[in-house]
Amino acid sequence: MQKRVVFRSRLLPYLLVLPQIAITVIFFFWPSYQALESSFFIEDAFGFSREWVGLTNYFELFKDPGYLKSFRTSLIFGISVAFLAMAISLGLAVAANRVVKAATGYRTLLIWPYAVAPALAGVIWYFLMNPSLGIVSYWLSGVGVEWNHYVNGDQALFLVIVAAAWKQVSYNFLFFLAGLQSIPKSMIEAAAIDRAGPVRRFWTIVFPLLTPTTFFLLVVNLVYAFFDTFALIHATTEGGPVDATSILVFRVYNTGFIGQDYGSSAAQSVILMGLVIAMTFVQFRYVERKVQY
Amino acid sequence: MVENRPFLTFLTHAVLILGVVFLCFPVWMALVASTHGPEALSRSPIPMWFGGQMWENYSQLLAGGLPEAGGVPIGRMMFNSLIMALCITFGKIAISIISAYAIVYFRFPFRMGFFWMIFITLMLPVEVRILPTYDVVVKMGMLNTYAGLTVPLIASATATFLFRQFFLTIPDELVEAARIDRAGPLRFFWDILLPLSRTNIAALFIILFIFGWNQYLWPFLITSDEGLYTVVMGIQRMVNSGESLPVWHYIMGTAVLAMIPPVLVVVAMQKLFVKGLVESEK
Amino acid sequence: MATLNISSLGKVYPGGVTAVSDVNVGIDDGEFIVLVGPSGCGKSTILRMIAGLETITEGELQIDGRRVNELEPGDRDIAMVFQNYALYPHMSVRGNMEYGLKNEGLPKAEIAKRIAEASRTLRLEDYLDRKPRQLSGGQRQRVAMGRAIVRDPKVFLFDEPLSNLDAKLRTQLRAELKALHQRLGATFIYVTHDQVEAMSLADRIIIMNAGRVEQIGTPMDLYLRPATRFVADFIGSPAMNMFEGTVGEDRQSLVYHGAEQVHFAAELPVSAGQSVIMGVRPEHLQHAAEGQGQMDLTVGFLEQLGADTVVHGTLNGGDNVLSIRLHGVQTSAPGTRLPLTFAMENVHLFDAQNGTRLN
Repeated sequence: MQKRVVFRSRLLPYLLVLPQIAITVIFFFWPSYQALESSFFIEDAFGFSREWVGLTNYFELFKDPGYLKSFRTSLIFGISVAFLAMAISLGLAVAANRVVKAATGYRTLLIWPYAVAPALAGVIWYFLMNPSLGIVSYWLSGVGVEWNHYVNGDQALFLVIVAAAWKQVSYNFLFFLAGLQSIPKSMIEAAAIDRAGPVRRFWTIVFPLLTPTTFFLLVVNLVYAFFDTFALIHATTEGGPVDATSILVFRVYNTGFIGQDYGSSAAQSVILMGLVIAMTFVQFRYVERKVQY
Repeated sequence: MVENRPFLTFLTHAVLILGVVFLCFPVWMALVASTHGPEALSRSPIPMWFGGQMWENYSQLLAGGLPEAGGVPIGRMMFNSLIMALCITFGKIAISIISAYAIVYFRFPFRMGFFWMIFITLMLPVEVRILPTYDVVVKMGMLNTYAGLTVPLIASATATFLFRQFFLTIPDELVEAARIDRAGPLRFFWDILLPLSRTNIAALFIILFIFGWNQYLWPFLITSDEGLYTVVMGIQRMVNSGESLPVWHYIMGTAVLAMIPPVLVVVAMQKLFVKGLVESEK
Repeated sequence: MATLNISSLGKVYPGGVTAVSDVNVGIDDGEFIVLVGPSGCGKSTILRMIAGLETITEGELQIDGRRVNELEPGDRDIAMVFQNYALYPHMSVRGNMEYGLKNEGLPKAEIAKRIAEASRTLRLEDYLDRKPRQLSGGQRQRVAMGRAIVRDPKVFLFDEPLSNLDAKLRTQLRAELKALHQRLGATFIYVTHDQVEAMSLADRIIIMNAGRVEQIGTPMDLYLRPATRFVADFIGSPAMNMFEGTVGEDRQSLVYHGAEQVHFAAELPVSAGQSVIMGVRPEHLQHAAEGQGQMDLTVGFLEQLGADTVVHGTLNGGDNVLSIRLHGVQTSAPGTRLPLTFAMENVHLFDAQNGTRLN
């Protein structure tokens, strides 16, 4: 889509895009290129010399059981967070869409966690589930669950999943609600006249019509779980115990800053970039299709 | 509603109340914990109602900070967070609106090239290029500066797209009328386009303020000077403070303080926020 | 006030598409010119080239004898009223009217004086501090005109300014526009697709089709002597009846499918056997006495308009559609044959191949 009329000026448009483009090139493109480049080198810890090693860093990664485990952890983490956050918020959105009175009140009470930083969400849940004095772990012990995420890796992963999902519910809720509200009332009424009960109506009419929203949210939630939750994990479990919550982004950071293995960290960055590009591509392919509707 | 079934109505409210409890309970506990002293939080089960130490805890936090975590006053950290959030917000809005303006209202060589360059930034989140970006900032001598904290984060594809989308909905005739009224490109931008974008700017402000305030990894890398710590990343020092046990009443107090500004913004400007969020993601 | 000189004006888009070609017209000071034609005929493009909103790719445009091809819209001393009004939504009515004047750097007192004058003329005094969204469609249209008037331009340009309004308001504003033109005495150039609007407003009409000028003339010129088949068809409602055929041996008849369809009272000014299109307006056909008819109408259905009755049917029961406009309330059963006559001066003959006028 284009404007019919445009201003004529030789220099002005360049001046206008300059700040954005400068920052993009200096802080986005140049570092990304650096990452790509250094993923082909092995550098000594002091940065004095480096050696071209081709794809060795990548081969090493895929031979490293720790990295493969991190892949698995990320996948479990991402899918669990997305599913949990989406299921809860869909339920809430469907309920909120039915309420006429008090709808704004409920909405206010449901959307504010969007503003809570992932790091804070993590810290608060970390406190709630603290093995010695957390209220949730106290309740859990009441029903016979021995909770200690300092020792038990699965429990630690569960903890960060819950915290990450908790923070994301508000976001999904708003989009599901917007999606539900855009479904024409007449369509629901037509289904009611066709003798479909509320549950049947939901699964045969409402849910299919929500597919675009659901798909969009799935991608957004996966991106969130893979990248934005770094803070959540770093502020709480720090990847532990024994790498049980060490998702891919966390590993990039750990290998690079703590382990000082630049080549391997760069290779991991490049793989993650590939992942983001793939996800963005999927998302925009779908947006294009949505436009055709 | 299509029909009126009392049971369904009951279920609806039950689901909503359960959701509200699930979302509010953790913060309730954080609030409660922040009003107790260390003794109350040393044995399980911890109290679920407010204690009497609220004033002491918060005044200690705001003014004196936490000795166990370097003793930077949380007030100072919140000030840093505010500076960072505002710089990122206004920076993003400013550079996005002018680049969107150039792309929509001018024809020039490489126009689409620039558009795609901005688009590609969507695919390069800071988390995946931590080390090299850090290196660039080091080379430019921006470690431990507000500039280093904010400038690298102000490129924004999302904001640029939002403004571009909005500009495309403005009728062509408005530009034509302005041109007949002797308005050049800058005057048109300032007199017409900017006032018309007010709502969009406000909506974007909310989203970006939250984005800026909640930054964690970047300030963590860029600041080693404790005077520049932001509150969201500062809390990490308290939780993982090495040997000593975490002081939960202070940590929860800090968490509460850290979430107040963005939560207030969302709740106070709810309508704009919802509009901004749903539209900026389209 | 101003004269315009348009010579060999044309617009070719970068992709090679020709939107307008070879327009030549001189516009006198104070004239009301209407550009009319179907959508996509290039009429708006011409207006926008005059305004300076489209670059002129061919030919020359002069205002008061001075070439203005390269001037910015703001420097051409023109004002324009848009179809969707294009009011600045965040400015008050006053703000909208004074914006151009401020940009021109006029003194405050002068601006205030002009706004007071224009708002009195347009009865907008009570609305000066309102925002456009608080106004009705008709009021918005008047603000758009006010914005043009205060600039005191040499030429007023109107791009379908009434087409977003309902029919009743349109008629009312048409009259106001005509009165405004008479009072200001300025040169008006007006684009519309509505031939009734064109006929009722214009001193002269430029009728366009597919990027070319079909005819330039007064409304009566166009009505009485359309230069092409297109003009004949476009001007007038209900549309002119047109029959294709060949001229009979006696040059007094129109032959179609081997049968004489129409008989003329005098010889046609074309040779026998030539393929022509004959046109006659519905209002120029009269009911004739039995046996006196020059052609027959087989009645299909009636349109009762009150003052008139339009009878639709076919020519001699064939496949040529024919309609007549009769005065007063008339009745006629479907299938009835009505003999019709017409005067020779109301006959229009066009070349069947290129549509040019033959008589």
